[in-house]
Formats: sequence, structure tokens, C-alpha cells
Amino acid sequence: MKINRRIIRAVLVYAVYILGLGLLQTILSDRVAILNAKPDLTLVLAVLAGYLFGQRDGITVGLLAGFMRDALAGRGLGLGMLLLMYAGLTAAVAFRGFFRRNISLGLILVILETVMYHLMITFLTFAVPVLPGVAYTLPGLYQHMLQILPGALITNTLAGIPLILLLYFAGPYRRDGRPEEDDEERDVGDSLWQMK
Amino acid sequence: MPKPRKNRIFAIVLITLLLLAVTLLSTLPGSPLSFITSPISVLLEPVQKGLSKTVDQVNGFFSALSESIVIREENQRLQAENAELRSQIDQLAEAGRQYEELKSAFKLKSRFDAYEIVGGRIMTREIGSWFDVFRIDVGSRDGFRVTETMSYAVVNSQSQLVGRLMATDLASAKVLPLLHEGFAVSAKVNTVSSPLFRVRGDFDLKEQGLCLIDQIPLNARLQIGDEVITSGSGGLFPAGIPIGRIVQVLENADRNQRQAYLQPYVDLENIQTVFVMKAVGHED
Repeated sequence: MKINRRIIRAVLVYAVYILGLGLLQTILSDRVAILNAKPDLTLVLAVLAGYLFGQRDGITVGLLAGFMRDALAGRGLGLGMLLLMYAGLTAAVAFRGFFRRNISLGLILVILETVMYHLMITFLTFAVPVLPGVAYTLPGLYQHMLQILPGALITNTLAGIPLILLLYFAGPYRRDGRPEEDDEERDVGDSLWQMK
Repeated sequence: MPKPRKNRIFAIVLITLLLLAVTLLSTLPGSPLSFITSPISVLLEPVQKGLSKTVDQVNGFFSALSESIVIREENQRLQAENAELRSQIDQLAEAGRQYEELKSAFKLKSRFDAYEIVGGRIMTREIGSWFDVFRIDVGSRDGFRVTETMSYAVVNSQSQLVGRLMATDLASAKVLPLLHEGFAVSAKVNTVSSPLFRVRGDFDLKEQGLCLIDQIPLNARLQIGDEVITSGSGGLFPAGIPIGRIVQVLENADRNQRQAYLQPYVDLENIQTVFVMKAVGHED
């Protein structure tokens, strides 16, 4: 019974965050843009979910948030899901062990993942052109990425601050009752939150 | 390697391949995958409209606060202009009556008489420069269905070109704006017997809000300030839709590769409502 309540809470909280942030992202005014970039809220959510709550959460949130992004503003379906799934996964696997789920280091992770996301989408846009008849050059895409990256880094980092606090204080799990995640726990070596 | 971890890696590889396949499949015009988003469109439509309205009101409130002085001055100017316009309306009403008589007499067709115009509200905007199409609340239930050979022109309230539909689901449609690198339209200068050329979005010019003009014939004379309209060639866009004005002409030593830059009329950032044009009698 306890498990069911925990799962229901997690599903509901994630649903609210994914729907809310997905929608908010698509109606944000250009007034909030910095250096022509608006915060990528769903990316930050997927990254923080993976970092704070593990692989399963990172992948699931990444896939669902990616679907929202594809459905609302994507040129096709699938690309956003793929990108955000890997953002959630790498946040959980590559950085969680190193940063040890330290919340204050979450912002550094957001910065690193933003860079990775832009590198990945640059390559994927070149390798899998979504629009027929449009040919991209890798140097052109790379130049474009360099232009938008500074703004994306600033806005995503700023968006990460309230999101970390939200996930910490109003997250999918009670702070004293994080889920055990089989082998993941052994990798990380701690199961307690750290707020420094 | 422990079995659960092996399984997880296998699952991730499988999902990756599946998503790549979905990505490729969804790029096909008229792909059935577009309809996967129908449930989410139907469910979120009222929420999005409410949210958009709230955001508009909040933006309007702050705009009103910051621009109150400007608004007061503008109000005075508009009142004077209003009086002048009222007089012009009376004259135009008379001219309109005469035009209707002439039209029926010569059996002239209005520019877009052959098209049904359906209004739509913008529900969501782009997410950064990679996820850069916007969505409107017009879908297949309104009779629009994008296929490999069929799309629809999208204009603003002044009949200026905004873009075209690129995908539809039950309750919404994605609009490919004219600044987008995937957009192209046959066009000409708004003069009699102007040669045709192509106006298209360009990856590098997009951030500057400009379109590229290419495939310019040797005999074409383009000048800064020329108004460019759709040519009607190709059948997707009706002839005569204003696109924008030429702001720069790039003369090349090789005159076969001349190019020019065009400033579109439409202000994509502030547009709220668009109109989709459907040929009368077209039901697919």
C-alpha cells in the first residue's frame, strides 16, 4: 500500500511538472530571453530528475518531456524524446556518481548537460535532417550552436535554481523516503540527500 | 556484467533505434505519426488557451504600466486620425459600391475568392532555435490534412504570408514559418509580367528576420524596396499574397547565382492569430 501511494505521488508530481513546464516553455514571452535564448525548462527538468532521482526517473521524465516538446514545437516526432532521454540518462549515470547528488552542484550539471545537448542536436540535425530538401553543413550548424549557446547556458542555469528547489521541497518522493534503485544505489554509494 | 544492467543497456539501445525510426518516419509529409499527438492536442487545448490568455493579460498589464505615457499620446493622435478615417470610410464605402458593380459587370474575381479562409489562434510558440515551429488550433477536424502533395498557405489578418502548414492532427496544426530554412515559395516582384524567382528561409538569415531570394532569372531587375508577392506557380500558395520587401541585392560576378535578401512583412514574434487558406471544394 505504501509503495502504491509513493508511486502515485511520483506519477502525479512528474505529470504536473512535465505538463506545466512543457506548456510554460512554449508560451514564454521573448521578454525573458537572454542573448536570444529562452530557458529550456524541459531539458533542465529531465537533467535534474536523472541527477536527483536516478536512471529510471531520468529516462522516463526525459522521454515524456521530449514527447511534449516534439508534440508542441518539434519539426517531427522522436528527436526531442531521444535527446531528453539521453540528457536524463547521462545526468544519472555520468555525473551522479561524481557529484554524489549534491544539490548545489546540480547547476554545474545543468551547464554541462546544456553543452552536451547542443552538441548532440547539432550532430543529429546534420545526420538526420528532419525536413526533406534541406541540406545542412556541419560547420554552419556548429557556428549557429556557438551563437546560441551562451544565452542557453545563462537561461538554463537561472531556470535550474528554482527547479532544483522545487524538486527538493516539492519533488516526486518524500525526502526521507527515496526509492531504492537496485544497482544504482551501489554505484552512487549514498542514498541521502545533501543540501550544501 | 550483471543481468539487470545488461537488460537496461539493451532496452536503451532498443529505444534509441525506435526513436530514430520514429524521427525519420515522422519527417514524411502526411505521416500517420502526426496523429499520435491528437490526444494531447485535444486534452491540452483548453489549458493552453487559458494559459495563453493569462500570459497575454499579464503581458498586457505590464505593457500598459510601462507604456502609459506613450499610450496617452498615441490616444490623442489616434483620435485625430480616427476623425480623418471616418471621412475616408464614407468615401471608400461609395468606392466599394462602385467596385462591386464593376466586379459583377466584368465578372472579376476577388483575389482569394476561390479560397476558404479559416482563422486560428497560435497555441504554442517555438522552443529555441531547434524546435522552431509553432502550433495553431486548426486541425483535421476543420478539414485540413497535410499530405505529401498537399499543404495550405497561412497568412495574417492583412493577408501577408506567414508560412504553411507542415503537419496536422485532430485539433491542431504545426506551421512552418517563412523564415524557416525548410520553407520555400515561388514569388515575383509586384509588377506586371515580373520574372519568377524563389523566396526561402535561410539558416543563417533566420536570426536576423530575413529571407533569401535565389533562382533569379538573368532578365530580372530587382531593386531595394521592391514588394515581393507569391506568384501562384506551384499551386500551393495563391498568387498575389504579399511576402515582404527587398532590403539588399547581392550582385554576383556569376549572374546565374544572384541573390537578394527580403524583409518579410509579418512580425512572427507578435502575431497571435493566423488564417489558413483552403481552396474551395478541396476536402482532403
